[in-house]
Amino acid sequence: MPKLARFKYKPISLKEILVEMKENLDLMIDLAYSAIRFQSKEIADEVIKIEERIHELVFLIDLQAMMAHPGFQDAKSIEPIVKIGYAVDKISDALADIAKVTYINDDIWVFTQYLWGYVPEPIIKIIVSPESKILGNIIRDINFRVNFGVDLIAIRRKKRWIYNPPIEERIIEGDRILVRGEMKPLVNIKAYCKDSAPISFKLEGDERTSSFDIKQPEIAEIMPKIKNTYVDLIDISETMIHLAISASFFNNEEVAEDVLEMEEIMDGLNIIFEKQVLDLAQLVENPRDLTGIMRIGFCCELISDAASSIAEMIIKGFTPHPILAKAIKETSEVLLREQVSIQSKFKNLSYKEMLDDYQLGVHIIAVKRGENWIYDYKKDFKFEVGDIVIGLGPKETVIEWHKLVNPERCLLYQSKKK
Amino acid sequence: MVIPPLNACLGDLSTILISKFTTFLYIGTIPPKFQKSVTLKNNFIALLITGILSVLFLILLSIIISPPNSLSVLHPIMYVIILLFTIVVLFSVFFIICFISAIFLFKHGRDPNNIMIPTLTSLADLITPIILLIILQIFI
Repeated sequence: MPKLARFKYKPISLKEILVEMKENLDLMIDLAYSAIRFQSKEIADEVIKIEERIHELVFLIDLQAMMAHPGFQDAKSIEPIVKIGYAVDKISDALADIAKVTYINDDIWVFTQYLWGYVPEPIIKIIVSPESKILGNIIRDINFRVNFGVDLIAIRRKKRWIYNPPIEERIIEGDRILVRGEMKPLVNIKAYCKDSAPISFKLEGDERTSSFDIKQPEIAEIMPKIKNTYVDLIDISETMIHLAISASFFNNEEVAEDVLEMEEIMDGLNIIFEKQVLDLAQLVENPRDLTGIMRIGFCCELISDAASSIAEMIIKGFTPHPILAKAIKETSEVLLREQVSIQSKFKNLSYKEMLDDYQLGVHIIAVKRGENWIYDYKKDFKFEVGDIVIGLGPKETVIEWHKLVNPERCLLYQSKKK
Repeated sequence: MVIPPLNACLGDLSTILISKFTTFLYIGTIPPKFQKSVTLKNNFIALLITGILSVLFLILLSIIISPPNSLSVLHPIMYVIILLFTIVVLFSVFFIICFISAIFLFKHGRDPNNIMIPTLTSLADLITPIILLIILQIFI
C-alpha cells in the first residue's frame, strides 16, 4: 500500500480552493487521456499526483466551510460548493483510474490510437522543428489557445515532462509538445511547427508491440460499433462536467436537467459498451487485454454520476454562493454566455465556418434554441438569431467573443459605462 | 452613566466585525491582503450606521432617565456631539484593529473568532473610557 502523506492545513479560502480545483481538473482531463493515448506511465503518475492534491483540497473545503461559521443563508449557498468539491473528487478518482489503465493494460494504446481521430478534440504530439517560428518564443506570446485554438497540455523536453507549462516557459529546439484541439487547428499548429511527419503517438524509446491485431477481419467488423460508443462515452462525460459547472455558474435549472438526462443516456451507453466489449472478448486471444478499455467505459460512467450530482443541487434549489462564479472567472478558462443578435457575426454561420473564422479559442459547450438545448454539433450546424451560446474560452478573448456574438449588447454596455 | 453601555455597544460591534471578517476570509469574499474592497466599505458603513443609531438611542434613554435619578444633561448638543464623535473614532480604530488582526491570524492558520472576540471585548472596556476622556478634553 502506498504511504499516504500527512494532511497539512493551509489557510486558503474556499474561493482559492475552487480555483485550484478547477485548474487541476482541466489539466487532469487532458493528462488522463494523454496517458492512455501515449501509453505513458509517467503521465499517469502525474495524474495520480494531481488526484492526491484534489483529495487534500476536498479536506480543505470541508474544513474552511466549517470554520467560516456562516449563517443559515450562507450555509445554504455554501452547501453546493461542498457538493461540487465532492463531485470533483469523484471525477478526479475516475480520471486517475483512466490513467492507471496504462499500468494494468499494456495494449490500451491499440484502442486509443485507433480511435484518436474520432474523438471531438483529440490530443496529438508535435515535434517542434528547428525552422519553426515558434522556436525561442515564450508560451505567453505564442498563446496557443487564442492564436491556434489548441490547448498546450505538456512539453516533453529530452526525457523530462513539463506539465501545464508556465507562461514564461520558452519553447526550445527538440521539444515535443502535447496539444489538444479540433482537427483543423491541430493541423494548423502542426504545420506552423513545421512538423511534417505523420501523426504519431510514439515517444522516444517506445517500441511497443500488441498481442492482438485490430485489423483482423472479425475484429475490424466489430470495432466501428465499439468506436461509436466509446467516442460518445468520452464526449458526453466530458461535456457533462462542463455543463454541470455551467449550470452551477449560471444557476441554470434547464441545463442542470439536461445533465441529468445525459446521465441516463450514459447509463445506457455504458451497458451497450460493456456488451460490445464482451462480444469482442470472444474474438481476441486473451480477453484480459480488454480490461483497460472496459475500465475506461466504467470510469466515464462514474464521471457522469459525479457531474449529475452537481446538477441535482441546482434542481433542488440550492443557489451557489457568489464566490463560485468569482472563482470560475479567476481560472484561465472562463464560462461565457451570450445571445446571438441580429448584427451578430455568428448569424447564419455554420459551426465549421465559426471554427474557421471566429473561434478565438472558445469551445462551444451548448446552444439553447427556443426551449431546446443542443450539445451535439455537426459541421453544418447553423447559428440563428436568438440562440443562446454557452462556451468555455480563454480570458484574453472574452470581450472580443462577446462582440462577435452580440455587438449590440456590447455597444450598449460600453455606452452605459461611459 | 453612558460608559458601560458604550463599552457594551463597541464590544458587540467588534464581535460582529470579527465574525464577519472571519467568514469573509474563510469563504474568500475578501482576500487576506490589505487592499480596498466594496465588501469592506459596505460593512464599514452598515456597522457604523448601526453604531450611531445605537448611541443615539443610548443618548435618548440617558436624557429620559437622568431627571428621575437626580442627574441632568448640562449641554445636550455638546453631549450628543461628543458621544457621536467618540463612537465614530472608536469604531474606526476597532475596524482597523479587527481587519489587521483577522488577516494576520487567518494567514497563520488561527481562527480569528476564537482569539479576537475575547480580546476585543476586553480591549473595548479599556479603550472606550480613555478615548472618551481624550475627546472630552478636546471639546470641553
